[in-house]
This record gives sequence, structure tokens and C-alpha cells, in this order.
Amino acid sequence: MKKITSLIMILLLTAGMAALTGCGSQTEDPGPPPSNVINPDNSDDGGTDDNTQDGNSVGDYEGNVLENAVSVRIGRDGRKEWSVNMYDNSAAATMLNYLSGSALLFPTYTYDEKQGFVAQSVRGTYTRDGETAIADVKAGELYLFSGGQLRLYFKDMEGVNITATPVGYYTDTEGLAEAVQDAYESNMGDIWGVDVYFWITKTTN
Amino acid sequence: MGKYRMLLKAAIKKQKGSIIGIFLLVFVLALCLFSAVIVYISGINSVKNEMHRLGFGDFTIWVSGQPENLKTEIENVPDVDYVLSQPLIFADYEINGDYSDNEGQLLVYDGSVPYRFLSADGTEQPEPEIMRGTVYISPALCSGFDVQVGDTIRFELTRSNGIKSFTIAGYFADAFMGSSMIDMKSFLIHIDDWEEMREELSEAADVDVLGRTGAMFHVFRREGSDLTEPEFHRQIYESTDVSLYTEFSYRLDSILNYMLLLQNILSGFLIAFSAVLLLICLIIIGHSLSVVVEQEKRDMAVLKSMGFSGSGIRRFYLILYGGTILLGFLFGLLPAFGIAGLLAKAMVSSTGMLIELSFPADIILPVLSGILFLFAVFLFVRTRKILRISPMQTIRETGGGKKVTSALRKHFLGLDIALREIRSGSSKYIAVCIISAFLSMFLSVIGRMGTWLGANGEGLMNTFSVAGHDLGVQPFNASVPMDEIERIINWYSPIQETYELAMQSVIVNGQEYTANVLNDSKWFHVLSGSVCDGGSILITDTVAGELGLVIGDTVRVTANGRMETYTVSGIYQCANGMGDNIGMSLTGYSKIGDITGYIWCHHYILENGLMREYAMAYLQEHYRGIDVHTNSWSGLDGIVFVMHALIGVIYLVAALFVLVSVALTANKLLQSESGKMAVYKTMGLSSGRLRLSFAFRFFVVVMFGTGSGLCLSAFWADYAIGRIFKMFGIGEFNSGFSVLGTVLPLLAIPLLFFGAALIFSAKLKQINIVNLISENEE
Repeated sequence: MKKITSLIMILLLTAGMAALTGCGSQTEDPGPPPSNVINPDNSDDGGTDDNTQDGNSVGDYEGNVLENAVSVRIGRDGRKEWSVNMYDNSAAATMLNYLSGSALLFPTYTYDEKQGFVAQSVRGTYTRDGETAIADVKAGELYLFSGGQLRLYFKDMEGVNITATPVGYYTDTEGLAEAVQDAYESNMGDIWGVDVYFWITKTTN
Repeated sequence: MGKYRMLLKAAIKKQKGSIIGIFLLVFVLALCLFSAVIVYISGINSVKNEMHRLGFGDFTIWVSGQPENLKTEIENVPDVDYVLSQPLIFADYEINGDYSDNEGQLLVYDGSVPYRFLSADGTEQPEPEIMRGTVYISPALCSGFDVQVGDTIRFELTRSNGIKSFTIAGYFADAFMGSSMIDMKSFLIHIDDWEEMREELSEAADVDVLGRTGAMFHVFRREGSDLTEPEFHRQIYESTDVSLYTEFSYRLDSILNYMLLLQNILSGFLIAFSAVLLLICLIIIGHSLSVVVEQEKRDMAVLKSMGFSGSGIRRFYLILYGGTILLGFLFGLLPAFGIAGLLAKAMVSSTGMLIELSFPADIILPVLSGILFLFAVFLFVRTRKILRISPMQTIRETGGGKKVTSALRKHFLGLDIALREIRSGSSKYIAVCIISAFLSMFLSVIGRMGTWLGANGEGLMNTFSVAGHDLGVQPFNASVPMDEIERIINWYSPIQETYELAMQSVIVNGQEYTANVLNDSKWFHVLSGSVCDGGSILITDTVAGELGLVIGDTVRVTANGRMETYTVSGIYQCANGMGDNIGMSLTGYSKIGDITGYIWCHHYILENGLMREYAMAYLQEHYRGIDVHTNSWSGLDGIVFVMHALIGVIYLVAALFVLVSVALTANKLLQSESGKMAVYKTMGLSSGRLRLSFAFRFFVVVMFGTGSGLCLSAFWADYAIGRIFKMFGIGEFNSGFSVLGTVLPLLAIPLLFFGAALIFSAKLKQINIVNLISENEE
């Protein structure tokens, strides 16, 4: 009988301790990922690739449009709402994912009067699908460059010869250049060194 | 005097088992309680003294850059007495192929700050002469990185050949962030190495630089200052530019809480368990006394007729039991210091320093006096019965319990006898029932916490992080190929969900907090109110308490020199920084902070979370300019280990208490039932069946007690644990049905009682018909 009781006690403690230690399951290390995962066949590191389309302006870009997808105010104290149509491509969709119905204050640190654009890197992981070679740009057009730089051209520019993904355009461009220039001038001396602020609100689902 | 000696001899002979049992229980109680109290008090004193000795301010601000006038600016604040500045270099580091989640802080060791040097087991070493190329580290790194003296630590200063390697020469006691509960770590190096690194950083191009210089500003408050701590904090932040440079800031109490987190958890549970043990001791002693008085009634009556007074007999029992209890406490107190020492040594790799043990007489003596007084009152009340024993009445009494008539079935004889005995002597089993209820209640509480904690600390991970995730990757520059990294993660395990988190320092109504900014605010664990948007923020219970805020209040939030007003939309859970944090949406934070910088950490929830470690190891090895982490921190393993070990220890102590209480109860029952047992034997019941029947009584009673204990636990455990957890910044605790908290106590406690009763019923073998005859002769 003593043996039985001792056995009961040992079993109890063992069962208890096993339950306490969790008995967590393990998964084996699958090793390093194969090279086609790291560098898939359909991508390369060069500036141009097979996905690049040729075109003279964004007008040549074929894609569905999400009308009035975004509303923008230019300048930290800007009042006027500018409506932006976005293309129905993955780059635009990724950008839209970062926006909400509340206005996002978006700082841009690059203002190039001569080249007619303001630019800033945007967050998100972007493929280079839909990248297009464009010779001329029009005011109000938005392009995403490799490396994640988003540019707004606020002037019509000819012969810029860029390779980028068109992501959207301002529906009304009258006074756009002046609004950007005013915002730039009024923001001089900004404590963060921002050139132009934009308030961006997503207006589509 | 002689008659009392005779009485003592008789009592020792008859009640030896009870006295030894009570001594053992009180001994274990004292050992458990006092070792926990010594660790707790010594820990607080030890770390606090060391922090003061090393010059930690009333609060300390870690700043980046080398703001020249900032120290003077802070010193000019009216309530500031003085500021001590300790320069440092922030840099990521790698040890034995493992990359740290947090930057290391390289400090100069030139003797101006009196650091203590240690061996790996925490014992103090003589002050070494620090050599160039060597580094001294906190012993806590040993548990996180499996590191030892002679290993190399590589600090990343710049991208181009900017890796600086140091050989570990030894350990030092880092009272500011030495604990494994704190991910940030300090490193002591030679002044020339430090200067060389600073120069390299200042000469590096902006795009190339990885590390940065900074400083700790230890701010001391003027004596007699009327400001509260939050007001003092606010005064500094509102009257200086310190917010522009702040990396983080901590009050002395906050760092103290971090440093002592593990030992507070350990000692807190042991103290709570001691309270349960104290109650059990009272029940067992009370029950034992009742049985003794009942059994010795006749002898007491005879003693009274011989001229002993009732109060004299009572005094005798008070001294006998009181003395046993006192001895139990004294004998428990002596080794408690040694046990506390062992605990302190075992925790060196978690606390980062060896706690200097002291005997906290100012706490222990009042506690001991209080408990002894409680026992004295209890014994005094429980021995009142002795006064009421009258010789004539006792002689007339025939004894025996409640008369119960119930059929005894041949095939279920053992079971029927057990049930009949419980019914006829129900009062004898009340103590066992209550003890099992208390034990099961406490074990259930501990089990619930163990379940919540999880096998790998998942409960704590989720509570301390803003939102659950398996893997986090933060890129620090544009050249990091996040698309490639995501493909690799996805190969290890498909990515189910992803979101981004930035943790930034902000000032809320003048007080510094960490803002957890999410690009998708649905991931916040909102406890009450609603999720935040562009015009509102979420706060923790801790922040609500500190700033006196409720949902709907308006707050001013400042970051990087910009201020905006927000509404408090809700209370959320995130125990990071002991709850000193707020939640903001991307749009909300964009108004005061630059959202375009490399502040965002990409969080991934994987289909198979167990693959996270492999993915992390691969990414750390193959990519520069990123920080990869899992939903964990270096101290988590320590907490999980301590909690699981604690549960084991508590179960063992509970088993010991069960054994002793069953021994006391079974002994008395068998003494009073020896005649009955002899009769059952003559009816043909074997000793084995009688023992099973005897043990079954305990099983039935304890099942009832355990059930009650578990019900009680189900009603109040979550609430009680939640209240305790709030002290650590954990806003909510919920547990449900679990093996550890529900099934294990329900099985373990009745089976332990059953097993113990089987062991202690061995006496039944010796009972035979002769006993019956001899009893009748009496």
C-alpha cells in the first residue's frame, strides 16, 4: 500500500509540474529562405524593368480612376479643399491605406521651384508595377518614384523624362501653383525645416 | 509545580503528533513569510541606496545631442536644486550574433561615478583599472545573451566601418537599468575609447551615422519644494526646451519599480500565500484544540476533581500551544535570512545586482508581534471550553457523536461506512473542508495567473505591447528593402495582418510620456470609451490616475516643439513603461510630430507564430539598418521562469500543509474510532478496505471544500488579481476556465488529501478485537 500511495503522490506532482511548465510545442527551423524568395525572377535592381511602360504624359497611362478619393488642403493654415482623383493601382491603394477620414498633416521637405514639384518620401511597401516613362507632366499630377518618393507637380513641365508610377491628379488645377508657392513662402523658418505642409483626408472607402 | 510537570509529560506523550505538526506548519509559514519580507524590504533599500549613491536624480532625463545650455536652463527652473550631467553614446550592439532590440548606452568610467564591480554571481569585486578596448556590463546581460567575460560586444556607430568592438572584462552593478526587466543597458568603457567614438560620430556624414551622443540629466529638486512630482516634472518641461531633446525620462520610483519588478512579483506572491497559510494554521490549531479538549475531557474532569483549577489547565494548554507556535516562528525566522540570501543570489542575473540583505527589524518585529497576538487571542478563545468542563457532568456523558442510522450495503460497505462516519461526525471534518477551500482558492488564483501568463509569457507580452504581434521590423533608412524583408517573413510563415507602430516621446499636460502611434487605431486594446482619431487620444489607467483625467477631458500634447489640443476618447491597455504611455492615431500625431521619418516599426502577425524566432534570426544576420524584435523583452523569460517555479513551490508547500493537517486530523479520528474500527474488522472488512474507506471520507469532504474554493475563486479572483496588476500598469485581467486554474486544483487537492489519509491510516492495521475489549473495560 505504501508503494501505491507513493506512486499516487509522484504521479500527482509530475502531472502538476508538467501542466505548469506548459509543455510548449516547438517547430523546426526551416533554414534560410531560397534565393527566389529573396530575389524573385520578376524583379531586378536596375532603374528600368520589364514592367516599365513608355508614354509621353500621364494621359497615356491607362488605368481606372477613383474619383474624388482624397481631399487636400495646401499649407498648414490652408482652407481651400482640393479634390484629388486616384488611380486604381496598387501604389495608390497602399497610399490610401495610410489615410483616414481625419485630416493627416503631411510635411514635404523638398520644394523645387525650377522643376515645378514638391516631394516627400511616403511610407509603405511599393512594387514597381505600373511604372511609366513620362516625358512631360502637367500641374496637379502625382507620381510615386522608386524609393517611395511622392511628387506633386504644381506646374506644367515639358521634357522632364521621369520614370514613375502615376498615382493620381488634382481635379482642378487653377491656382494650384500659387497655392503651393504661397504655402512655401508662409512656411519659411519652420522649426522642423518643412517646405510645404498638406492636410490630406481620404474621402473614399 | 510538580503536578504541572506530570501534566506536561502526559500531554507530550499523548499529543506529540499534534505539537510536532503545529510546529512544522508554523515553521513553514514563518520561513515563507519572513524570507519574502526580507527579500522585499532589502531589495527596495538596496537598489534605492545604490541609485542615490550613483547620483540618480529625483527624476532623470535622457537626451540626445549635446545641448550646451540645456543643463543651465534646467538649473534655472525655480524648484530645481541642481542637475548632474552624465554624457553617453547611444549605439546598437551585437553580442555573440544576437542583436539587441534597444540601443546600448556607453558611459565613461573614470571613477567620478562610484560604480561597484561584481563577479558573475554578484559578489563585489575590487575596483579594476579599466583598459582600452574593454567593457564592463550588467550581469543581467548573461541571461539575455548567454554572454561571459572574454566575449566581444560590437557597437554600431556608422555604416562605413563604424563598428567598434569591445572585450567584456567584467560586470558592474547598474542600479539605473541593470535589471533584465529593462531592455536598455549601460556599458562602462575607458574615457579614451569614449572620446574616440564621440569624434567618429561627429565626423560621420548624416546619412552614414547610426549612433549618437547624448546625456543623462539627473535633476534634483530643491529641498522644501511644495510641488508634487507631476507638477515639478511639468515645471521643467514647460520652462525649458528639454522636450526637444528628450529621448525618455524616468522618475526615481519608476526605475525602482522596473529594477524590482521580478523580486516584487516573487515576494508579493509568497506574502499572499503566507496569509493563506496563516489562516490554515489557525484552522488546524483551532480544530486540533477542539479535538484535544473533547478527547481529554474526562482526564480534565479528573484533574479538576484532584484540585486543578480550570484556569490552571487552560493556562497550561495556552503555554503548550503558544510555546509551540512561538518556537515555530523563531525557528522559521532563523533560516529565513539564509533562504532570502539564496533567493537574492539566484536573482542576480535578473536584478543585475546582488541585493544587500538586511534584517528589517522595524517591519518584521511588528509583523511577528501582530501575528503572535492574533494567535494568543485565538488560543485564548478556543480554550474557553476547558473552563466549562465539570467533573460530574463529564462522568455522566457517554460520549459518541450524532446518532445516524443508515443501511450498510454489503457490496458498498467501505463507501457506506465512510458516508455514515462523515454524517455522524460532521463537525470533525469542517476544518479539513475549510482548509481545502482556502488551498484550492489560492491555487486556483495562482493557476489562473499561470494560465494568463502562458507557457512563453504570451499574456504579459500582449499586455505590455500596444497591440499583439509576432514580429516587428523597423527600418532606419531608405535603403532597407522592406518588400524583400516581407517576402522573407512571408516565406517563414504567411503574414496574416500587418500594421505600423511608432513610439515617440510627448509631453501631456506638462508630463513626459511615450506616445504609441498606430497607423490603424483599431489595434489598440480599448478598455472603455472609444478608439482615438485625429482629434483625440487614448490614455492608460495609470496616466488617467496621474493626471486626474477622465474620458472627455481636454489635454495639451506637445512633441518636437509643437503643441495641439486633444480630447481623451478612451482608456486603453498597455503596461509598457508601467502604464506611462498614451495612444494616438497617425492623423492625430501628424499634427505635432513628423510622420515621415524612420520612426515606424512594421508589426506582423503570422499564421504560425512559432516561426518568428527563425525569421528574426535570419533578418538580423542578413540585413543592416533594421531593428527586428519579437513581441517580447529580455526580462520576460525571467518572469515566466519565476512564476512557473513559484507555482511549483506553492504546490509543494500546499502538499506539505495537506500532509500535516491530514496527519493531525487522521490521528485524532483514529484514536476516537479505534473501537468502531475493531468492530468493522470483526464484520470481515480488511485493513486495506477500511483504509480506503477512511481516505474516501477525506476525499468526499475535500471535494466539497475544493468545489467551494473554486467557486469563490471564480467570483473574485479576476477582480483581486486585476487590482494587484493595476500597480504594474496592467489595466485589465480576465481569465476563464483553465487546466492550471480549474482542473488541477480540483484534482490535486482531493487526491493529495486522499493519498495523505491513506498514508496516515496505516495504524488501522494494528487495530483488532482486543482494542474493542480493552475499550469496554475502560
